[in-house]
Amino acid sequence: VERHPADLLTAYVDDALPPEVAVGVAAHLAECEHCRTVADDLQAVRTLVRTLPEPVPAASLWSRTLARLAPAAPRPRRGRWWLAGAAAGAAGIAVVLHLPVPDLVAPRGGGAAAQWHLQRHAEAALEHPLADVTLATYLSGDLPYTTTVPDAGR
Amino acid sequence: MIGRRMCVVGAAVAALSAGVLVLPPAWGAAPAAGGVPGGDEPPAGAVLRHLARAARAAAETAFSGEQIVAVWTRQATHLMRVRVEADPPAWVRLEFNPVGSAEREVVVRREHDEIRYDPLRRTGRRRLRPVALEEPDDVFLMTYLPWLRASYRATRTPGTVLGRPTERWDLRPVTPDRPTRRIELDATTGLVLRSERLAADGSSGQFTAFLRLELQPRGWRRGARVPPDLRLTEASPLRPVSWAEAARRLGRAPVPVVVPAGFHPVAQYLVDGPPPMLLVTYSDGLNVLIVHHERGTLAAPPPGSRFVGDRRHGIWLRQEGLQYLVHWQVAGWRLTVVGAVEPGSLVRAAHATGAAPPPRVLDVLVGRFRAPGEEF
Repeated sequence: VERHPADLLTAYVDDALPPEVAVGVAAHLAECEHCRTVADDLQAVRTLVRTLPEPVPAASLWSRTLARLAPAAPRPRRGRWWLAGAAAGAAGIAVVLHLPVPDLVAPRGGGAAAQWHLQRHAEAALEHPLADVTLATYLSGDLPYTTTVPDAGR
Repeated sequence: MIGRRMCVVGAAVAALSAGVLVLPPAWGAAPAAGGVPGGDEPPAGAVLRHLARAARAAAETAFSGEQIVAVWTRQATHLMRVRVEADPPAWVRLEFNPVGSAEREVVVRREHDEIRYDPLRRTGRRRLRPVALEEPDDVFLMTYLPWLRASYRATRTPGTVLGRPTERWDLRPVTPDRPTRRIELDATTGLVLRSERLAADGSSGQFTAFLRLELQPRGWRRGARVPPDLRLTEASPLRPVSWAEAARRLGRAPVPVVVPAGFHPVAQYLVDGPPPMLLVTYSDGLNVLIVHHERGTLAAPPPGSRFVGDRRHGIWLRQEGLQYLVHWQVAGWRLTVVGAVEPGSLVRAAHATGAAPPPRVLDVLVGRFRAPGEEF
């Protein structure tokens, strides 16, 4: 199955890939509608950000900031609860988003991914001069036959 | 556990060979990996001479025969008979017949390629074998044997297989984190007539043995061909690359990986992408370890892996019989180490290499947004 170069798309849009890698990504995009859509979205976001006006602080910002730093009389607290709640909610979400999730990582490619690694290991083992050729050839195959012998498991 | 496994092997061998092969009592009551009653420790020179002879015999001896292969994993026992035609290096044909299944597979290994096919459906695939840069004899003598001598201790016990006098060699690792290899060499030809890998606890993980062996003159399968009506697809070959080319193709230099003690780099191969990936192979003289380098920022282990890291190190482990896969991510690389080495050593190697923290909820969400349905 062809892989989607998802982790290369941002760099591709930013023109930050080495030429030979960029050519490979471009070739993939030519054939993959999914990746093309993602790349287009990234490009659109990039363009949008560039078109936003650069914010300029108001001339009175400095004087207002100094005024707020000066001791002030206590102000009525009514109406601030919603702000505190929102801040707490945002902080909570931020904490959750930064929680590690070692057990929730999306597995890659079903059982085939592990088998792919094991097959490559068996292929490497086959090149050893003392390799057990029959065994390593079997382990490097696509479909290790599973013949369950009763009462023989580990 | 050992007894149960030996019973399975014994029963299968007895059933398959119909009395052709009788296991010696010492084999059936195999001791734990550390103990070899009656075995002597020959001088290092003798060990090297015998192993070099075995490697040469594997590369040169022509024969036909039948073998039994048994592999244990946590889930199942794989057991099969294999018919073998060997006329190396031009022709080695293996016909796999799993016990209790109608499935068949034939593998023809030739000097430069390997063809696997289903003899009933007439479909299969061909792949080029990695290019050997040096003669196998030279490689073994100059490279593997010195490593093997440093990493393993050998004991020798006389025996008999198929009525042929043998020498049984137990190659026990100096570092007890990898399997003991037990091979029984034909005294006449040097061929390996039996081979077994024992885990650190002494349990058997892999086993092969000849049920029938007939020596043949060299060249006896000269002119042999695979059936002409096969529908074969071409599999991507493993292409040897230099570090410089690997760095160029991958866009940056691969991160250096620390491997368990005694392992030395052997070769590196590029696997076609996109994006391309790098496989680096290591050996301790007998055992093989591979490290798979892939560019990426989100560690995603194969299914069935369990988390063995901590809050600061995202490391996952999966066991498959004697083999372990350890998976982690560092500096923009996804790394997977595969080898028959105890997980403690592999996880320590991951820590020594450096491992990024496990992904956060945010990383997973971003990863899913960027590559929904990504398949490998």
